Amino acid sequence: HAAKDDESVPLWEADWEDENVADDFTGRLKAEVERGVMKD
Amino acid sequence: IEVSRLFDNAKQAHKVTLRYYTGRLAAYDEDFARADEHLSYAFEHCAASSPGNVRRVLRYLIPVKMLLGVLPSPALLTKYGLPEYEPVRRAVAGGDLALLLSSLEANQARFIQCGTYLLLEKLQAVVARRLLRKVAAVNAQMNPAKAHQVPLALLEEALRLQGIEKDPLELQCLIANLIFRKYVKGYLAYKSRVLVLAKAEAFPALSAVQLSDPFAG
Repeated sequence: HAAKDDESVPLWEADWEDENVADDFTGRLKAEVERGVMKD
Repeated sequence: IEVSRLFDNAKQAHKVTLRYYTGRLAAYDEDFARADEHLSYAFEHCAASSPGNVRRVLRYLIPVKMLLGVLPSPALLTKYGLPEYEPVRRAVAGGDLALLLSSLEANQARFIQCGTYLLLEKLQAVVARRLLRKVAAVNAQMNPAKAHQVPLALLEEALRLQGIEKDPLELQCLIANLIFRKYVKGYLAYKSRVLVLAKAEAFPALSAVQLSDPFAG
């Protein structure tokens, strides 16, 4: 039988792009900017 | 018609082999939609009793899918024993350019041997786009009146947080490339060092992006 027949869990994630844009890194970046570290 | 009849009558194993190599060829030609079609066929029809062959197909299918905006699930990587793609997946999902570069370097010999290194290297644009999207979100929160005007200094800071120092010209070049290939809709205001994003759909779906060089060939 084919490999795909074994699958019971999702193998691919197609809708991840719009999710979790704001995560830990975004928070860290915001904190750095607020601390005035950013050079312009 | 004759070729099609031959294909229909061929053994399943031969069909899978043909689609695998046709998919690889399409990936080298940067025709990722076609590569996805052929390699997905090979993956879906490859015998489960040949895990080595399934892995061979996945080594190409995974980067091709990621270039088209589809991530492999952690379960898929575990099941088929492809741990080298785990940090690449995380880098794409999180917009972590430093992680992508370090995982490419750490697995360089393996990726080159499998013939996927150049394919994986193209993910830099996908990762940079994700990072830019995060930077744009921070900018929108901090400066809602100018949400569509992203200072390049903010992107520089984001890269610095990842341990990447980029020359200002190099950074402009990176963004110009993202705009040229339609990863991002907008324009660079060079004098004010600001990326002005389009008000609608500034980050078009990856499947709609121009992945190959429009001037090549």
